[in-house]
Amino acid sequence: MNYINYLIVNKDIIIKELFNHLQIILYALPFAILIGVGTGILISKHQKLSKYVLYLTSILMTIPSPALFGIMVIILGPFKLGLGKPPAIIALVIYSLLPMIRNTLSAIKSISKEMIDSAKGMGMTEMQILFKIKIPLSLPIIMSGIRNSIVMGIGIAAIGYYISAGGLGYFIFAGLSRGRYEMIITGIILLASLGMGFNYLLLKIESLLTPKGLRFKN
Amino acid sequence: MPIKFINVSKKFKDVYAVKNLNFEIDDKKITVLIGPSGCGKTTTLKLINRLIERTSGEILINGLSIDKIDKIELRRKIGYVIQEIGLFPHYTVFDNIAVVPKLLNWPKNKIKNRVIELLNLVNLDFKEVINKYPYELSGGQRQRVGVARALAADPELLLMDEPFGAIDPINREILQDVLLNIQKKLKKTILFVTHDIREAIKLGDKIAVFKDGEIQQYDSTINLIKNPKNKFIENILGINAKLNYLEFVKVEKFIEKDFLVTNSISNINKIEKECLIIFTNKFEGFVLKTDIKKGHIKIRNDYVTPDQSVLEALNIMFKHNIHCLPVIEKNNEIKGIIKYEKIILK
Ligand SMILES: Nc1ncnc2c1ncn2[C@@H]1O[C@H](COP(=O)(O)OP(=O)(O)O)[C@@H](O)[C@H]1O
Ligand SMILES: [Mg+2]
Repeated sequence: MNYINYLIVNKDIIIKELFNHLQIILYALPFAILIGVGTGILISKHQKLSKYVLYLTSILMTIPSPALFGIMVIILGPFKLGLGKPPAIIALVIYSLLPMIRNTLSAIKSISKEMIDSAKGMGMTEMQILFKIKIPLSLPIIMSGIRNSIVMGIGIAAIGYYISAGGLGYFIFAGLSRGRYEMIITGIILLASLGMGFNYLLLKIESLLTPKGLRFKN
Repeated sequence: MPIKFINVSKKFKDVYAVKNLNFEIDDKKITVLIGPSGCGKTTTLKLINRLIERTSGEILINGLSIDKIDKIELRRKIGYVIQEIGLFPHYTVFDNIAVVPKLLNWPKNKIKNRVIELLNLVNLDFKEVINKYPYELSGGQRQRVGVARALAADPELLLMDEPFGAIDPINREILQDVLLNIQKKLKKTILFVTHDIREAIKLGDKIAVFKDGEIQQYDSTINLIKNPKNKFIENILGINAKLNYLEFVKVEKFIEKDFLVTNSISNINKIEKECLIIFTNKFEGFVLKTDIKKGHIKIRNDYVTPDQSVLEALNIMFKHNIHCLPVIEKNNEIKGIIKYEKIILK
């Protein structure tokens, strides 16, 4: 009873914070994909470099997320971007890098050397091999990296509340400090449905992007 | 396109993959490279289309150094077939075959017609397979598509690296026959890698035997079988080589022109050539030099077609105790004669 009441009274706030949350994620998304997948593709030709980059990104992943948001605030402070959405977006991009780079790398590596030789042997240029062979064949695995990053990012973005980025974190953290369970439950339900919704949507996109000749594997 | 290797070596780190290769690949013939795994066959092929760059030496195609030709352009002029894994899984049969024509910007119609022509050439029903993906094909079908793809832009040179290695023995024989048929029609320069001596004898006009990156012996198939240079070659050849040879090698490889044609034998008492073929508007029989004795002439009716095996020709010769036979095409065209002493092995 309490809970329904809370929803009705606060529906404007709920919509606003939901929108804030989506905003953080959707801003971070293009950068994360561009940087993550791009880096993955660029370094895929260099064994050693790939190893170092993967090592570096996995270290970044071990930073606890509240700490990373804090670091962003400190670094961006001097540019007057210390609070609000920018640090949250950047922190999210950094968190997304590892799964995206790792999946891109392993996708490209999983293409057999013979197939690449065969493409080269027919006279394809490096660019043609990248766009006609490597990327299409890697797309399903790259997409699942993107999906993992986004679903994970939906949870992490909640921490944005602490640095005034807004978002669904408000209901959980404010609810916790005020002891208001209906707030906490609202936050959890919204975050969970957002996560499941994105997961479902991205799975659909993933299977659409899977080249027909590869679909039999699923 | 004849290819010449002059002192070609390739080192990976400090180890030679191939060393001091000096040999010439004949124009419009099938040359087979054979040898144990790791002896440098694949490396030799890849040196030609520059998937691997040589450490030293020179490779000439049509007398021109391969360094003088743009790498990409060179590769588009050379057909390349590897084991079935080389087909692109996300391309249909059509798109796989159309790869090089598309790279060369052929007009759409020309590509379509070419793909259909090639599928017919490799004995695939184009309506059935043209829109399928590789995973929907059998291993043999995939390999036919691989051969069709390599032939797409009508290259003069084909490099084939164990193309039928992953195919079961029965289908492998069929594919070999398909290749021989294509070769008969198209006359390409083919460099074919295998580790199967039976395949080498069946397909090769010439065979190069590799060991540890070096050529042990390079010779016509018959000479290799007749005169293996050392124990290693003998081992490679195995005990069935001579039999394989007689079984596989076609009569057409031994056709000679040592014959005359006549439409009447009424006033003949001496033949200048080994064999006199009697021909009106079809093959009527033949007379051997030795068949004319004291004015008596014996007319024989046997013949072989060019695609019969040497073993079959030998059988006929033994049966009639003669040393040569006319070779007549199915449409009655006279191809020449085949002689016992040229085919018999020591
Ligand atoms: N990219 C490479 N790097 C290092 N060594 C290689 C490479 N490719 C081939 N080799 C070596 O060169 C030798 C010849 O290899 P290869 O030409 O593939 O033999 P084959 O095709 O006859 O089995 C082998 O000893 C192999 O290990
Ligand atoms: Mg090999």
